[in-house]
Amino acid sequence: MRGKNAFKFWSVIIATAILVVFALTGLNVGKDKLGNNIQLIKSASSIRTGIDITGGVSAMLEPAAGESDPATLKTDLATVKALIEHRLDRQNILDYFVSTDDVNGRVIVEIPWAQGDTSKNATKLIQDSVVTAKLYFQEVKVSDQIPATSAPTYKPGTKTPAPTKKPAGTPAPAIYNLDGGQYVKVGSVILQGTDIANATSEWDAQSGQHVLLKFKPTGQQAFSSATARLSKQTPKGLLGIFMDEDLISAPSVNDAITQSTAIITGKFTAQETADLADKIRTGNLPFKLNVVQINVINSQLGQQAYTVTIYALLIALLLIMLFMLIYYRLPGLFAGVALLTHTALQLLFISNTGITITLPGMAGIILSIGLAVDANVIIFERIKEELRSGKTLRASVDAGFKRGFTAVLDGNVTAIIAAAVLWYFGTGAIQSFAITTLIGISLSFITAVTFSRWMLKATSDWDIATHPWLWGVSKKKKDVELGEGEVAK
Amino acid sequence: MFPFVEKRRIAYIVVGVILLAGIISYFAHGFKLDIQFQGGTEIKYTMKDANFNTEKAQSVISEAINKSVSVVSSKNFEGTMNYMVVRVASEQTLTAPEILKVQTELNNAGFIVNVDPQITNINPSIGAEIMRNGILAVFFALLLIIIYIAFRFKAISGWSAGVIASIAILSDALLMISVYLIFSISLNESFIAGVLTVIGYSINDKIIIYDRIRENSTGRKKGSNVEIVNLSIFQTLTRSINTALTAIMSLAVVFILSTMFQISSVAQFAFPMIIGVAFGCLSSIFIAGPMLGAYKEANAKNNARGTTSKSRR
Repeated sequence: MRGKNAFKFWSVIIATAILVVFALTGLNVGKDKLGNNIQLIKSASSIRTGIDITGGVSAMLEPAAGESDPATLKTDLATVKALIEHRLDRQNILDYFVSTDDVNGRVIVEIPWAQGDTSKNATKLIQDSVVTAKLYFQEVKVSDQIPATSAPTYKPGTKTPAPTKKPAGTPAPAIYNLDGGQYVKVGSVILQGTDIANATSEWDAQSGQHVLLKFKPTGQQAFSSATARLSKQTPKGLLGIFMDEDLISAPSVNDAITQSTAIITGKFTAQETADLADKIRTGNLPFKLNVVQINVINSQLGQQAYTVTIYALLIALLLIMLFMLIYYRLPGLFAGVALLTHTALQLLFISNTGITITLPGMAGIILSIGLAVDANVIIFERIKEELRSGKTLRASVDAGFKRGFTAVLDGNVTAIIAAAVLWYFGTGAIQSFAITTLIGISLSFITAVTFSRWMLKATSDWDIATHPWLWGVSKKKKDVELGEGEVAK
Repeated sequence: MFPFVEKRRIAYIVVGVILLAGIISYFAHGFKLDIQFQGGTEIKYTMKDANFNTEKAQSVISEAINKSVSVVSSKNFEGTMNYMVVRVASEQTLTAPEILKVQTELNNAGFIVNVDPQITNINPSIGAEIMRNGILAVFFALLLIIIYIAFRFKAISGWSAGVIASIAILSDALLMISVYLIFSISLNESFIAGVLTVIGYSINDKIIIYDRIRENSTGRKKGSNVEIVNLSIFQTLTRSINTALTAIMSLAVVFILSTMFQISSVAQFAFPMIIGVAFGCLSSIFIAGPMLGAYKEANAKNNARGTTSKSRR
């Protein structure tokens, strides 16, 4: 072994070693303030994992029937996306992914949990931060259906009291609870969230902690006529502020408010007014959203599943390397090295491009390990045949790669077609499978074809490596096959 | 050498029997659809222990949300975790407030449920859409691959080989579907992914055998079409089996480990691919190759007898 071939051989060996080390540890260039490694090349352990692994929630939302206008759907969806992102930011949830599907008119929200965080109530989060749509003002009065004093009190662990019998006749109006009081709606909506230009959390000595509302001209007019009416009532009328079907505040109206601003006062903390102002400001989705699909994954289960698939990857890799080594001997050893390079490259590619891996994605990586050796199997079988037909080792290796190549190409093209179609039609987790198989198939061209070719060519003129046993061809068998030579070519 | 071509009818019968069983199962109980395709709601709470009354939980939930639900108790593989699984019929899914209400009411009724349950809630229309996309994907992939075959086989063995290869991969897909029908395994997107992967894998097997048939018949080989096909299948046999073996090996590791640790989503993913790869490998050896051999032989006989003969094999 000398010259160009030797150089290629050792390049592959060294490259494999380096790639495996990088895949395991990454390339670290010092530490940041928190003591974490700064990675120039990210290791396999920093692969981004999908919410089926980290745990988290994914929801698909659609405008409620008849609420969306096809003409403005696209911009409305963009507004929805921006609002949801803003709300999540305000909730201190920084890792999220919101996307819109303009064709089907949908918004997809994915929120992975931070590692080890099991405290989140996903449904509540989606309800509060994502779905809550409309803010409106409507007159309310204290409910006289059920005296407030006998209102059922719920304690955790006790049985729910039987619902109170409603008087026959007209159905009872919906009752809204707020700070122990019960209210019912009166009349129609006075003001929409869209009539409000801005809302801020303020404090002054006179009113204490409060929310300052600034109206748009339309809002100012509606608000002034409504407050004029309510302030004349005895007792003073109550103005309910609703977020969808939640009553969030019900201040009494003392005077007609004719200017462009108003304040909401109450026994508020600074946090509460900030939240309220926020809800008012961001509470104006263009339409009410329905959750058409929600998946919540418990973080513990996902992590456990991920660990299992990592073990599966290592075991499969080892098994296949062993199989190739035992069955094909020296070429099998090189196929094993190429497979190691393949796996390391694939993991590095995924971690450094920031592709998100799901559990099916892991299955795709493992499957592509099983499929990557196909190229080697085709070529090695061909080399064996050429050897049996009496060719020299050198010539057999050349012929094996030359003749095997079209078959390898065919296999890869058809697999790529299938994976690409799956990627196009699939959803979320399945797309990750399509992507990892695509990457795996493409990489196997470099590793299983080129790298193992370099290694085999280099060793085929290395005296010590030319013993027939190393190539899986026995002398005896060779004679038998040679007898058939005219047929086997 | 095994007479692959001569014994081809055994393979046809085996395939026929499985397909027939699939058809009978279809009329007997139809397809079973996963929640992913059918839509519905499933909530899986982790429980402290297995001592909870599922009937009581069922009545509490039904009363709270006024929808009929089923509640069952389940465990993980090691038996260390207990779950309460709440399911709602497919035509009814739960809204986010309803899910919250279920949680509150369960807590009020004395069931201590965690705030971090596993929830799968799929609107039936979305489920139908995912299924439609899956079926479209299978057809589209088949179409593209048949185009590829047509393009490739013009050089290899002509259109007839392309048609036979397409029949073989179609039968692979149908066999997979039959297995799911016979054993009433629910279909989901993982199954579609399995079918697509197998289609992509299986055609490759056929191309390699056909490639060898072409090579052997254009070379200086002597022998009838049947002999050449038998030889070609035999020569590529090790490759066919070894490739299927390595693919199945990697998938089997995934399947066994995920079944052991009850990661059903992953097990569901690997299973269709294992049976599909096995079918793909077997159909290349026992169907696609022999069928082409029989066709070529029949063709050759016809040519030899000249145009007067109408008898076909």
